[in-house]
Parts: sequence; C-alpha cells; structure tokens
Amino acid sequence: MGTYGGDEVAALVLSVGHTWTQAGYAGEDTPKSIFPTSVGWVDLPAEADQGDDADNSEDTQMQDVTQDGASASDSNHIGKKDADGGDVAPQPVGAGLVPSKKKVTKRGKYYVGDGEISCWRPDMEIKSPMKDGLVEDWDALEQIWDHAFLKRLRCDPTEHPLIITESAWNTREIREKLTELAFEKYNFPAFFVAKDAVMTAFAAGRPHALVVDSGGDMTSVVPVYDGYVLRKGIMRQSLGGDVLSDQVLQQFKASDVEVTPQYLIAKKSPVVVGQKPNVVLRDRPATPSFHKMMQMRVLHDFKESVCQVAESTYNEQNISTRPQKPYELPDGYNFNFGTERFKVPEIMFNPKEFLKNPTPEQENFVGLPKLIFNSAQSCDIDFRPTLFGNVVLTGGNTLFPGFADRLHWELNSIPHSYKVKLHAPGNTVERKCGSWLGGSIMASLGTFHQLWISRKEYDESGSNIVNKKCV
Amino acid sequence: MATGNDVREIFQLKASDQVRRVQKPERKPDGISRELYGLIGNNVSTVAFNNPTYKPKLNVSKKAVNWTWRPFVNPSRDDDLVLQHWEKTRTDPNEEYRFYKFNKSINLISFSPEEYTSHLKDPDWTMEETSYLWDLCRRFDLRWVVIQDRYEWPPQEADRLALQYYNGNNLVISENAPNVTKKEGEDTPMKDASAAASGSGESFVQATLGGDTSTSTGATNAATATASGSNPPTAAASTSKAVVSNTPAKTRSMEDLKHRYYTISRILTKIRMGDASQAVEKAQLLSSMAYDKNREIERKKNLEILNTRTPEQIEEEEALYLEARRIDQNEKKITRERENLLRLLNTRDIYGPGGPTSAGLAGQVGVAGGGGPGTGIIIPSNSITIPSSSSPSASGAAGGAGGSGHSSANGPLSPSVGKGGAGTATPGGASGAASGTTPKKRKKAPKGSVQADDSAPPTPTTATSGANALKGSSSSNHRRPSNASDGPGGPSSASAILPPPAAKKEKLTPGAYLRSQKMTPIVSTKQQRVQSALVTLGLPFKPAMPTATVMAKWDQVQSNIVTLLDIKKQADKLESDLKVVKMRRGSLGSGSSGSSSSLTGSAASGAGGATGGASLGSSVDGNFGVKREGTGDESGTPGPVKKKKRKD
Repeated sequence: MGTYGGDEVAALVLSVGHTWTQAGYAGEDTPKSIFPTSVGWVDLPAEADQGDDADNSEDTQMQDVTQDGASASDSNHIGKKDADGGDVAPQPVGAGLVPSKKKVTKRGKYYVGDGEISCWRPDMEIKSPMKDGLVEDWDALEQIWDHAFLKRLRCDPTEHPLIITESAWNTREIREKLTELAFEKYNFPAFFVAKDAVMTAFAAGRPHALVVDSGGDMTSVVPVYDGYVLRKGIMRQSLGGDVLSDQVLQQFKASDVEVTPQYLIAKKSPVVVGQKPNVVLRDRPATPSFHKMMQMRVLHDFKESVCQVAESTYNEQNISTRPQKPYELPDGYNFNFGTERFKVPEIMFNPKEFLKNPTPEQENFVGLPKLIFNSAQSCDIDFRPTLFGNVVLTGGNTLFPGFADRLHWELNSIPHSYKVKLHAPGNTVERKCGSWLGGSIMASLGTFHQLWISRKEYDESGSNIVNKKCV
Repeated sequence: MATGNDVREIFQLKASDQVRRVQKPERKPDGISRELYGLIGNNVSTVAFNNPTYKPKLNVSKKAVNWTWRPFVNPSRDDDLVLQHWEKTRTDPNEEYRFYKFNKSINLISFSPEEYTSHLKDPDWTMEETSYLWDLCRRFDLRWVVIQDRYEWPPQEADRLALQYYNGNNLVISENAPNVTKKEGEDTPMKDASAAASGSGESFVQATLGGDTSTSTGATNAATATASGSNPPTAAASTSKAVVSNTPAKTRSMEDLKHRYYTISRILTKIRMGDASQAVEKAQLLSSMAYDKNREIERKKNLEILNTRTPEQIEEEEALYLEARRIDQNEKKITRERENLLRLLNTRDIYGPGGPTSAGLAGQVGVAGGGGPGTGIIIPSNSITIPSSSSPSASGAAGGAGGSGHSSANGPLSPSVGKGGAGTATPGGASGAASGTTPKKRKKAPKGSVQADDSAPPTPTTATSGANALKGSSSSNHRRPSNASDGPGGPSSASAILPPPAAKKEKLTPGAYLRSQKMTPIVSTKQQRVQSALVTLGLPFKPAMPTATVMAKWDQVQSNIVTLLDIKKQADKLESDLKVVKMRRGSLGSGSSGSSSSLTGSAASGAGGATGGASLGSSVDGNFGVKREGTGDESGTPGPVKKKKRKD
C-alpha cells in the first residue's frame, strides 16, 4: 500500500480488441476474463419489433439502463443472479430517433462469450463490432460491455471507475459515444479512455516506445513519446492474423483440402497421411459468418501449432531441411508440413512475395520492418534513436516462434545507424494483453486519479469532455 | 586465526584479562554466520550494523492493523470526485491526499496582448498562432516532440476547445485571441500606437506608425481584448473560423516552434527582470533559453546524413577511420625512422671528400692569419670576434697582408699581399670559390674553425698561409672558408692521401648493436703502433662514450694516425736513403743541406701535427693544419715531396 505509488480504487479495465476482449480489475496482472469480441445473434422475423437498429447513426442518445432480466436466459456459464438482482438487458439505444437509410436488420437475442458463439445455432450470425481498431457496430459493442461487466466480472458499474483502451487513431465521435455509453448506460462514477499503444508501452515500463501491435485484424506501429501518441508517426495496415489464416485456407483449397470445422463432424476415422478424410458430417446448416468463424478457429489452431518464422531471410533451401510438423484437421485429414509452415508468417515480412491472390488493397502492403522504419522515420530525428531502442512487440499475431528474432534481424539489416532493442515479453499473456496490463497498472496509480473524467464533469461538459481530457 | 593474545604471546607481553572481559559478553547474534561476524566484530566500528532479521517470523500475538474502505477526495481535481480506497483505520481521514504533491505543472512565462503588440511581433507569426503555440506548450509541458506532432494551425475546432479547456482561465490569450486578431486586421496602426503608448525602449519594438490620434482608443481596445476572456466559446469559435478561412494552413518545423518560443521567452525575461538585483538570475535564465535555430537545423541535417549511410558507406568510413588511425599511430615511428635516415645521410655529408680536413685547415689558418693586424677579426664561419690581443709571432708583413686581405675582401690579385703570399693566393682563392659551390661542406666548416680557434697554437704562422686563408674565406662570402688552403699541392694532396671516409659505406646491421662495434678495424700489423700513438695522445684504446659524432671523429683520428704513420715510415725511409746518399757524398765531398733539412722538417711536423690534433680531442683538422705550419718554412718543397710519397 503506497509502495510504488499505487493507490487502488477498484477500477475496472476493459480492452476491446478486434478478436479478443479483456476485462478485469486494475492492479491485477492478468485480466479476470478474456473472451472473443465477436457476438452472435439470430435475426428476428421482420414483424417482431423488438430489435434495434444495427448501424444507426451518429446522433444516438443513450437511455438509462433498464433491468428486465430477460437477457441471456439460456446462458450456460454464469448464473443469472447478480449482485444487484438480475441481468441487465440491452435496451434499444436511440431506437426510432433517426430512421436509418440502410436496410434495417432486426436482431434477436445476442450470444456473447466463447461458449455461446461457438455453439452451433441455425441462422446465427457472427460479427465482431470492431473493424480497423474502430467501433463499427455499437449494439454488438454494448453486448460485449454487458457481458464483460455483468456476466464475467459481475460487478456493479456504479461502484467502479472504468478505464478502457482505444486505438491510437480512434475518432472523436467514437470516443464521445463510448463516454456516453459509460456514463449514460452504465453509470460509472468515473471514466477514462487510454490509447492502447501508450498502455502497452506502460506495461513494458517505457515512457517512450515504438509499439508494434499485430493483431487479428491489423498491424500497427505507433510511436509513443512520454505517454503521448505521436499521431504523425502512426502506421497501420490491415494485414493481421486473419489475413494469414485466409491464406492458409486458400492453400488448403488449392491442394483440394476442405477445412471442415468441428461443429460439422459427426464421426471420423483415422486416415493415412495426405489421404482424403474418412468422415461423416452432420447436417448443420449455418450462416456463412458462423462457418467462417469456425473455420478460422481451426486455422488459428493450425497457425499456433505448426507455423514458424525463419530466423533470418527466407531461404527455401535452408527451410526445407527443417523438420516437418504433422497436423491433423478436425475431419481427420493430416499432413506433414514443411516449407508451408514457414511461408505463412513470412507474409508479415514480405507480403509482396508471399501473399497469394492479393486484393487491390493488399497489393500495397509493406513488410513489417518497413512499416516500423517508416514510422520511426516520420518522427523527429533526435527521437529516433530512442524509438529504435524501445521497440515493443505486442499482439497475438507476434507469437509465432522466431517472430521477434526475425524482426530484430530485419530491423538491423535496414541501413541506419541506430541500435535496435526489441522488447517482446516471453509471457504469452503479457504479449496478448499488453494494453490491458498497462491500463491495469495506470489505473492503480495514485497520481492517475486526478485524470479521471468524473460524472460531474460529464454532466457539465457533455461527452465532448473526453476529447479534452484524454489525449 | 591469530588473536590479540597470540600477538601478546609472541611479543612476550602479559595477556590482558581486561580485553577478555570486554569481549566475553559479546555474543554472535543469530542469523549471521561466524565468518561474517568475525569480519564485522567489535574491531570494526565504521560500519553501522543492525541486527538483521532475515526471516521475519509471523507475529501471531501482534494485533492486525485495521484497514477501512474509505472515500477520499483528490485536491488535484477541480471537481469533487469521490473515489474509494483502502486506508489504515488509524490514519486521519481528513488528511490531504498523498499523491496531491505530485501534481506539478511547468512555469511558462505567459504574455499579455499588450506585451505582444509592443515587443513580440513577428511578421511570420500572428498573435493567435503564438498563443496557440503557448497553449500547446502548456498542455504538453514543453514536450517538443509532442507539440510538433500536434501542431496544426489553424487548429481543428475540437482541438482548440480541448486546449482551452485544459488551460482553463489562467491564460488570457487563448480565448480572446480571435477577437484581437480581428482588430489587428482592421487597424494595425492603432495597435502599433498602443504599443508605443505602453512604451518600453526595447530595440526590437516595431516602429510605431505614429501620429495616430487614436492612441488611447487602441490601448483601451487591447484592454478589452484582455478582459474578454469570458467570451462564450462559440463566439470565439466563429471568429476563429473567420480567421481560419483567410489563412492557409501552415506547417511549422520543430525548429520554428522552438525558435519562436525561446525568442519570446528571452524577450519577456529581459523585460520583466529589469532589476539589477536579479542580474545573475536573469543571465542564467537567458542562457538557459538560448536557441540557435540555424545551428539546430544544420545539426539535424547532418544527423540525417549520418543516419542514412548505406552499409557500404559505413564500411568504407570505418576502413578509412582505421587507416587514419593506423597512419596516425605509425606517424611517430615513421618520423623517427626518417630522422635516423636523415642523420645517416648527414653523417655521410660530414665526411664529404676532402671537406673536413681542408675546412679545418682553412679555419686554423684564418685565425692564425687574423692574429696579425691588431684589429678585431671576425672568423667567418662562426662569427666569433677575437680581440686582437696577442699577435703570435707573425711577421709584420704577413699580418698586414692578412689584415688587408680580410678587410678589403680583395680577390686573388690583392696588391698588398706579401711576396710569398702572392704566389699562392690565386689557387687558394680559386679553391675557396670552388668549395663555396658545395654547400654541404658548410656544416663542417664551423666546427673546423671553432676548433682551429680553440687550438690556435702560438706556433709561427707563415704569412702566405694566413693570406691564403683569408682570401679564400673572403672570396667565399665569409662562410666558406674551406679549401682556402695553401699551395697548389696542399689540399689536393691531402685529399689524395687520406682515403675519403665518406667512401666508407656504413652497412645497416639489423637489430641492436654497440656503436663501438662499428669502429673501422685497423690492420693487425699496424695495430700496435696505432695504439701506442693513441697512448701518446692520451687517449684510451676505445672511446669512452661512443656517440655517433665521437665515433666519427674517432675513426678519423685512427685513419689519420695510420696515414701519419705511413708517411713517417716513408719519411724515415727517405731520410735513411738520404743519409746513405749523404754519406756517400760526404765521402765524395761537402753538399747542400737545405733539402735534407726540409725533409726532416716535414717528417717532424707530421708527428707534431698528429700530437696537436689529438691533444684537442678532435682529430679532423689538426694534423694537416699543424703540419702546414711545420712545412711552411720551405713553402715550395712539401708539395712535390708529398706527391712523391703518394706515388710510392
């Protein structure tokens, strides 16, 4: 207590990424809860007038939380009895205020959480509310918040300050909306929005850092100076883990292998290496988004267990001498992967050469080292040595074996005269939850408590206050 | 381990019980090893030592401290946000928040619009942009990297509002800036007038456009602008937009921003710290605000170049650097080697053919000649003035000839030369002129003359030699007295007889060697005699201090001795021959004795010359100089005789 300048006020820390959401209490070293950001829902028949407007609009006004205890009735992992007597259901936000010009989709019940969304339901759509680090689907995001605070942490939001992380390029409108959400719907006594890059640097114990964050959706490089993001140095491209998974899927397709997710398999028997699988499938019609998600899970597992990064430049000859790794798909098809397993993460370093069938957008991708270099280059020259000396690696997509070594090698082979120092936590959780961890540290500091946006300040200045206090 | 008692025992002292008694009660504390305690026992008192408790034990009996979940207010906040935290129950709930003291902000010198108009104007900057910069500086606590990153003029509306919010009411300018701008746009003269009104004698104050009647109005306007800090943000926004519309977006480099900031800070400091009492502080402040924009730009440019080198360039640079270092390190070595080489070459020059001997001769003769006239004579080579005190037994005529030869620097045809001198003067002068063309001999010449000067024995000097010497020296510009020698046979024979030492090529032996090893060996048959000659000269068989110069001279002495011995041998032989002839003639009848005496003389002088030279401790010149003196008596004869000898 009091040591290291800490002063715990039982703040909540929430970090919503594209793929994973992390929630927990400030001052702890691991999030209490990590669950997929994706939400599932079943579209209601048009006449059922209960759903809300998915993509509605800028001028949304939040309404107060109402409790009707009707939500998530078949939730199978958490009891419904909460401290405050019941679950909080989402109330249609701003329904009917502004008629959307888009096609109105009425959504029924939402399914959030690992067990929920991976459970097969006919017609269940899956979607992540985040896109390119920005909130795209506010309803889904509310579901995530609900799930995090009420189902996972099971806390009373009115008792805890909340700190959330956002991407460095988050827009003003989104932040204001988030503020509204926190104060209007959940009644947090205090709220703060922190940049995820700054928080990652914080977690790595560095005031200045070049934060390299490679996640499922995208890869970004953000220079941080003394706790401030340098906007002009932000470099990002939507080349992330999902693109790699997609490439693997294409490869499988090219070799006439169907990736059948678990939910479709009724029965399988072992087959010889490389032979067609001997499998009995279930008749489970699912939405394409659900099927895609389940496929991605398989591919994700494939990447985790098989793929590796060549330590120095990719050399087909050297690589072919490396031991092969066997992998069996859910349907029983198995194969020994040699050079293929190196080619996949190689996309991160050399997209021009290794990215097959690129879309027009993907054609402009540059390798990660180049991205980092460009970012540092756009900063003041006096600051560059510091940046190169504090490259912080975070994000699940950087967890390929050999990724950090390779990146270090690549950064050193670009002509410059800086000393490169790469900070890549060996701990998987730290790597995946860097920004959450930083938020956890910061929100438990005694000196931080003067920065909170309080309820009173929000009432006085409106949601615009977030742009004034959180820079 | 030896204790104090052991020491006492060794020195046979009584064991002291007192010490023991003191030591006894000190017990080794727990939790510390014996060895460590031996080191830090009661002998050592400099180290403060607290009994360490390495394993704090759980104190069950002690009552647990109570903690309370307690609300608190942070005074750093201007709202009264109540957060809750755990606190020890016994602490005072009304105590100020612990972390309040960390809430620090920088001290930025702010300026008022009046000050701006009077002192801070810059054609490149408007007032509102400057105040925007000031807001940023305050907002980001002078973190220039961030300021430059966020700098955007004209600022986006929300950014501006945020800054305004942050800077609150403590800054007058940010909010009223647009108003002021507008006014500035309308009536600049008025502003300037007001500047004049606020009147400070700074040199950089913009020239007032003067003569405007609205001075007071301008001042009041400015005042209103200052007071209008409470303008509603919307109004400020609209005006700012108006301003925005007619000014294109500007990009400012960090140097621009810093330059502007530091310039203004300097000016403001100068204005505000006018007191003499603050002079030191002011100077300090000003020096801390020094900023040289161009230099910074230059520095960054160079840094950029430095950092964008290709690996090849770096490699090349490194190679060059290494090379440079190597050269640098070797330079000393090389210079040393070169010096050695040069010395070697010089040594060679010293022994130029015939040089040393003739030079010595000339010098000697010069002095001898100069002794005559009774006037101070400057010896040409080393310009030592010799007072004309003693004129050693030189004949008047010779002295006169020498004196006139010297003073009038007459050529070989000097009329006042004595009879003997006239004959020999011409060749001497000629030879002097000839030697003058070889400048390398010059170095040797002074030595010779100095020695001659020292030695200048009061031996009878002939007029001819004196005159010759002087003429030679004068004809060779007082600096090259070498070879200004005697009769036609003299110098030539000398050089012929002496094997020129320069011809001896010194071999460079690798590795270290003693210089005495380098002595030219003497033929074993002559060794005995040379050694006895050395003994008579009072010299050891080997030089005590074989430096390069000593060795050179030593060799010279040796070779001269050898030569002399040879000559003496010849002379003896001739003499005995002569005796035989004489005896034969005597038996036949009486004959002339002149020639015989001349021969004897020459032989004797040879020996004497050797002695004289040796007695000086330097060999180069002596023998022939002295010999000349000896042979001078019968000027005509020696030449032919020597020639004869050589032929033998």
